[in-house]
Amino acid sequence: MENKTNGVVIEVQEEKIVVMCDDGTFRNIVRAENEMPIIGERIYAPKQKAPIIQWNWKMIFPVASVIAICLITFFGLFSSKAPQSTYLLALDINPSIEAELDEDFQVIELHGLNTDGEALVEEMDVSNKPLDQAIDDLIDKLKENGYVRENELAEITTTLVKLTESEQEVESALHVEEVLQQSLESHQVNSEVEVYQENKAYYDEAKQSELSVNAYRLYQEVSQDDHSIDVEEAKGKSMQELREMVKEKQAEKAEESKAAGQEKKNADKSGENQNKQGQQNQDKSNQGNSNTGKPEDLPSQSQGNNSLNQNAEDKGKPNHQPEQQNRHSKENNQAGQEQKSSEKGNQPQNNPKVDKDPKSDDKKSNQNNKANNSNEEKSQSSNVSSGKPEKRKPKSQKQESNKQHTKSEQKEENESEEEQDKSESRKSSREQEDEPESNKPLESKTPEVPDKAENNRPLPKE
Amino acid sequence: MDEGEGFMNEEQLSDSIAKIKQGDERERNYMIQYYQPYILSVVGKVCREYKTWNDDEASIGLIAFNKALDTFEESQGRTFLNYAYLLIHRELVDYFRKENRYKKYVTNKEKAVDTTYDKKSIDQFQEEVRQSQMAEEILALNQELSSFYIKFEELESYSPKHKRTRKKVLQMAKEFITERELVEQLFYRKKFPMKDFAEISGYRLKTVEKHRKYLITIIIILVHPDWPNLQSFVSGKVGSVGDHGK
Repeated sequence: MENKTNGVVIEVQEEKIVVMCDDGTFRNIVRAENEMPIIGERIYAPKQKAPIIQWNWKMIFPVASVIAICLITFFGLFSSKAPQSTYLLALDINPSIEAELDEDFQVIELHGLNTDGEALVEEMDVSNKPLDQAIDDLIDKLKENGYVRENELAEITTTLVKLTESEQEVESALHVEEVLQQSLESHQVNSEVEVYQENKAYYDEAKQSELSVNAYRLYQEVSQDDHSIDVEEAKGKSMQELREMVKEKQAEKAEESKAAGQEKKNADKSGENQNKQGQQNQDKSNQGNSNTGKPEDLPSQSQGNNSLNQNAEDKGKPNHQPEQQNRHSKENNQAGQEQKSSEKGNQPQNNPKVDKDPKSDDKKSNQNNKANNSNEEKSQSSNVSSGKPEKRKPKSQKQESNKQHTKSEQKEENESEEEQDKSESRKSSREQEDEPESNKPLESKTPEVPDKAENNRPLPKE
Repeated sequence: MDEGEGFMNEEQLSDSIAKIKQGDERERNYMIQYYQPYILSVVGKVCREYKTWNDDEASIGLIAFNKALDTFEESQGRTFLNYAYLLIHRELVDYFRKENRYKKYVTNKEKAVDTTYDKKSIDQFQEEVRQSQMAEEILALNQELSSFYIKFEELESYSPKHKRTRKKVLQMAKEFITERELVEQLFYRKKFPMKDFAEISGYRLKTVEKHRKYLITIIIILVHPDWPNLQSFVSGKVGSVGDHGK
């Protein structure tokens, strides 16, 4: 008898009978009302499927916790994916917005950093949209709300912050620039776009002072030496205002350094001039480039937006004034592409100049290097570096190292370089604004590049 | 006689009873406590209804058991448990008569009871003996398990459902008892020596965990060769437990 469902009663309870079965198992079977075996009696004890779960109070806790976990998970799936946000993209037009992106540049979440930004974000739903689509939507919204108008110049500053360690920084920022530009173009918006790239440390600093990264950068420039403006003030200002302030500051500095430079460098004047020109050239070509410091490899990120400067390096604004011209990473999107080609033509021109000025060239070359690296493709980007790999390299390397270090470290390493870098990057953004004139000569170089006109264009800044 | 050990053999039992007759109250109390489950189940059987210690019938049964302790004689030719059953039955019937309820209880059981007075067939006698023995072993096992905080009703969940696992667990138990150290640890600490067992035997602890209480039960049975019925249960002899009572 294989089944062996008989056994011996070993315990009798009100509800059940415990049976020691012939097959070597113990079974609890339900006791019928009239069933009253005594201990030791043989009894039929079939396997009972019915109460698979014997409910008793002991089960409350595990069951309740399992249910709770299921509910939480279930709802959790809906509320947020909580995927790793790999990037943060801070966009400041006037509304200040921050987008969290995952590694594939899909939008995880949008945050508004100021009132306008928040209002805008509320109107948008970009969860899981790829970046280009999200930017398209955003620009739509901007237009709707009048923050951006066709044929009216819009100043857009963005910073891409990579939250994780990786090698892909350049490409990422480039990608962002491209996306931005394309979108703006398609919306027929004139704009000056600056795209910066930062590391998390810088971003955290900005967060601490409660400024958007882009505002923080501007604030940094403005208050570089004299802290003429403090954080609280900066918070209250719009990007526009901050930019103005920076321009002023740079103008001041330009004057100062010019004066100083002239005194010191009488002998060097020619060099300087050349440098300046070179710088200008660089600047112009660099306009897109901010000192991303990426070595020659920088494919001159999006044409005008080489503001992939490491802001850290940018800190040293003051020195850059003469170089301001170089820095405009702003490029008019529309013009960008054309400029690129023309720039390339230009760059060679610039290069020689750049080479000449080793002294101040440091900065310039740095700028150039950086710029060149990034600019090469961007006609506008002032990456003259393409032309001068040799020179650039050392500098770009420095720049690179700068980039990687924290701000403080950079300062220690190459103050001058930093300054250059900083000024370059700053300048790229600012210079466009500040020195339309200075750039112009350079600009003229690139007549072919109507886009260069971007800088020249309605943008007084360039 | 050691308290804590069951009445495995008649000798121990008669010793205790002798003591009780001489007035050893402690021994009496011990016996009562030891046989409680049996008493209650008999009461329930006689009454054809589940009874708890709160019920009058249970008290009657207790009184009857006491009497049995006082009057049991081996020479009468039956086992103690059987004798106790008889007395409980008698008392309850008397009680029912007084309460005018006896009819439904008397009809079925009296027959069985009456046979005790007649000449029993050998088979009947053997059957009684077997059943008594089985009950005794069960009571003893119950006593033993209680010191491990294992209840009979818990064993179902720890029983291996598949034959293969059962064999494996049996194997484990057999290996276990060969190691004196392990056995000592188990019985002194009343806890299964997991780590040591794993080291010595090389078995995965997962199986042990899953069937821990069952395993302990098997081990306890294995170390009691004086429980033949239970031993046949463990060894899974063909046939049934208790059928072949030795």
